[in-house]
Amino acid sequence: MRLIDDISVGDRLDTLEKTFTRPQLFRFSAIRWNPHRIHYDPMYATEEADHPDVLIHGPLHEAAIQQLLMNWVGTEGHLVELNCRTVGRGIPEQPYFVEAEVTAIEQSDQRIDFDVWTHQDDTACAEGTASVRLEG
Amino acid sequence: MSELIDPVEYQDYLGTTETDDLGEITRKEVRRYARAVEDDNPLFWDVEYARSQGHDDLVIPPNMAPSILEVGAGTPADDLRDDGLPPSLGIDPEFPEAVQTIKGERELTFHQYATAGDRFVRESTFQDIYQKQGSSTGTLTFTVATEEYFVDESLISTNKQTHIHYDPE
Repeated sequence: MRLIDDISVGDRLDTLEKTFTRPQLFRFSAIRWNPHRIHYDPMYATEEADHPDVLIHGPLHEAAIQQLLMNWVGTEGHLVELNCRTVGRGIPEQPYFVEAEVTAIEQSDQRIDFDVWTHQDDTACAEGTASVRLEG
Repeated sequence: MSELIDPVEYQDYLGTTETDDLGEITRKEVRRYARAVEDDNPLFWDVEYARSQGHDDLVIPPNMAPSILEVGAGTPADDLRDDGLPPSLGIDPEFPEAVQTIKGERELTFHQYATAGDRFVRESTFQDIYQKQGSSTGTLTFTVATEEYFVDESLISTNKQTHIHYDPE
């Protein structure tokens, strides 16, 4: 059992490392029914939209952060908030890192707040805040 | 002031709400979403495990419903913009064809988890439109919509969604 008393402001969760592949981006476009070319059409992405490659979707950054936090909280709580914005251009086939740091602990309602962010090497991809609530 | 978008023209649309039926999110769709993310959380994959944890069925990844762009069959291909997006982007009247759009911040609140087999209804309210001067992209137009996702009139999640629109020229 994860006790809220064992968690401190400033704690960093273990980094989640992923590599999003082009087929994954295609699948994510498909399950969202999102026809936006910047996620699957490299010619459009690079020549028309001036991106380095096709781009990782905003909600895919979000889903990676969600994965880190839901894995961490396990069955002992719930993800209750996730605020996220894309700050850089994440691309497929490159290592991708998901990070979270505890910023506040609210004992009264068992709530833990985090700063969350993702990056590829030194390129920031997404950043925001999130909260989980422990049960019991 | 952008030459392509004048926020004044959109003032009458502020506060208007649209209701969309997203339909059922099935076990297969939950697993496909988890596969696209490569998230092996057993709550998304193993029905018996999810039930052992007190859920009715597979847990729907919390950000899944707010991530679905077109909730029906989708815009006919001939009517999509050059960038592939549907013309309305959820905003009526439509922005001019030349406008480029990207997602801005999303503020998601998960009131409870929904499970496979639940039918979703979305209520989207157009909240705000404003402009800022970008450093290298000229005038940026921001639109803000609040989306509420319901299952059987029970609020599942809320998404305050900002879009950013710009003139590529």
